[in-house]
Amino acid sequence: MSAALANLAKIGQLKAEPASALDIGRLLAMAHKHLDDAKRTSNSLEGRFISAYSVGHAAGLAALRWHGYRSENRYQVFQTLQHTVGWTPVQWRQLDSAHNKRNLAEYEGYLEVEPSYLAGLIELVTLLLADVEHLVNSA
Amino acid sequence: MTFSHPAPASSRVDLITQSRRVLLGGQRGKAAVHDWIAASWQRCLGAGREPQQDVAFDLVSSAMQRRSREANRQLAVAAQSTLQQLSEAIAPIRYFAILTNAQGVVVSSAGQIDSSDRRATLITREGVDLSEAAIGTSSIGATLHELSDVWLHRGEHFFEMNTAYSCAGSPIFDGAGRCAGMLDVTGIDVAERPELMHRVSSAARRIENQLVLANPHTLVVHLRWAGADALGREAEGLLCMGEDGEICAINRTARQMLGMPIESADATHASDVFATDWRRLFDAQLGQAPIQVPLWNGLHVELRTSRSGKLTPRNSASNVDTRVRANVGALKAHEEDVIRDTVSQLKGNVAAAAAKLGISRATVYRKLNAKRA
Repeated sequence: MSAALANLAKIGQLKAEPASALDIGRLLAMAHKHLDDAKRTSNSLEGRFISAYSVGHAAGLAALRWHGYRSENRYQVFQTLQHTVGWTPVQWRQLDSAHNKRNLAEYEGYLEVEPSYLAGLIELVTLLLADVEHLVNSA
Repeated sequence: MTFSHPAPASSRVDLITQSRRVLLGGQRGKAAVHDWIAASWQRCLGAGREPQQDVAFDLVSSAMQRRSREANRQLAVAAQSTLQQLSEAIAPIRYFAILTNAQGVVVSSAGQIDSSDRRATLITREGVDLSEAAIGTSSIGATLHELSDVWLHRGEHFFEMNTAYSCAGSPIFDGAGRCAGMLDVTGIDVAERPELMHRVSSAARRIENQLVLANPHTLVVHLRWAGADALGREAEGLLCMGEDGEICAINRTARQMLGMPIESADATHASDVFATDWRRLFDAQLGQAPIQVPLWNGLHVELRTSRSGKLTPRNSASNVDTRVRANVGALKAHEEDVIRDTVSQLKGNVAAAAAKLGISRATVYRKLNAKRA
């Protein structure tokens, strides 16, 4: 699983950085906070979406950090999920789709979120968080 | 499969004759034909055939011809101009070209085919079965069995009545990696020309690229290794993508470059092969510099894209001069401004903006997200 990550690091697409239990723990703790916010129905749909998206990014980054790499590129954090936690393309491309929506919200102030879409995203990032925690705890 | 430089003509024929005596006649001695030829002869013997038997060169049934004509139409269309060019190139050396489907049934033929020579007319009729099961070892059967380029000369054909032929063959794969047919060039009572194997292979690659481009697509991507010299079109990697990044079709060279299996039944996405945001590929526009894209194996490819499959040459003799390139860049920036303004005027309603501009929502999202991480 890590051969692809090592290949990308050799060509400068990823930065090699020793795993830090402290950093990983903080990222996972942050992910849990975002997840709580995402599930809170008193928040706006848009706010909950941004929180759910942030769960995905924080968990994905924690997985990458566990393998000893860092990326400043959010798309890459999601794309490398197939190599960090063994996610299928179908799974991680849903996060890419959320990444697209988030960018539109961030840079254009435009966001269109259906409750059913949000529910699906929360389910997806909850699964991701569990998979990353399993990865971290299995070491 | 490689073909070493042949021995002088007389000794080549002698070696083939000796091989026939050993492998087909049961005599003691050393055979001097390629393993795949020997294997084909064994298959023919195993099917109860004998070299001295006559070959019928049967046409497939009318019903089957009708069905295969429809099934072969895309291949015939893709091959038409290449077949014509090839046949003109090989006519001076008395060779002609045959195109078959994956079952070895003739789809079309081209070139100077001597209508008074039955040996030529028998094998060039549309619908004639030239498979190994029908006519024994030949370039058609060998190519389709080995799925590789082949050269056969005279007595390397199983049946004695076929030993006047010299042929080169190359398989043709479609955009999904399946064998769609093969391309053959044949001469009768001619000098051996193993160099034709490369000629035929090159022509087969052009046909394959036409098959790739025949698939519905939004973007055509031309690949070469980063830092490599410019290649001829048939030597480039080629893949077609849809609006949402799915790979619709891909040629063999691109499969090899990207480390993809020969035949993959499942649809593939650009993000599976390129370790970068696939939306960047839509930014490598016609007339601009190629972009370097990382692969998962740590290598880089350079790629250029086009929308219509027609790519302007990059060199200084190109008709896309500097002024036009600058205009293309300005046009792209203006296009993004128009899209942003429209979305803003419609209070962020992307669907309405897309409808007003006559483009898809995915295109709106992509244009607005250009160059953002």
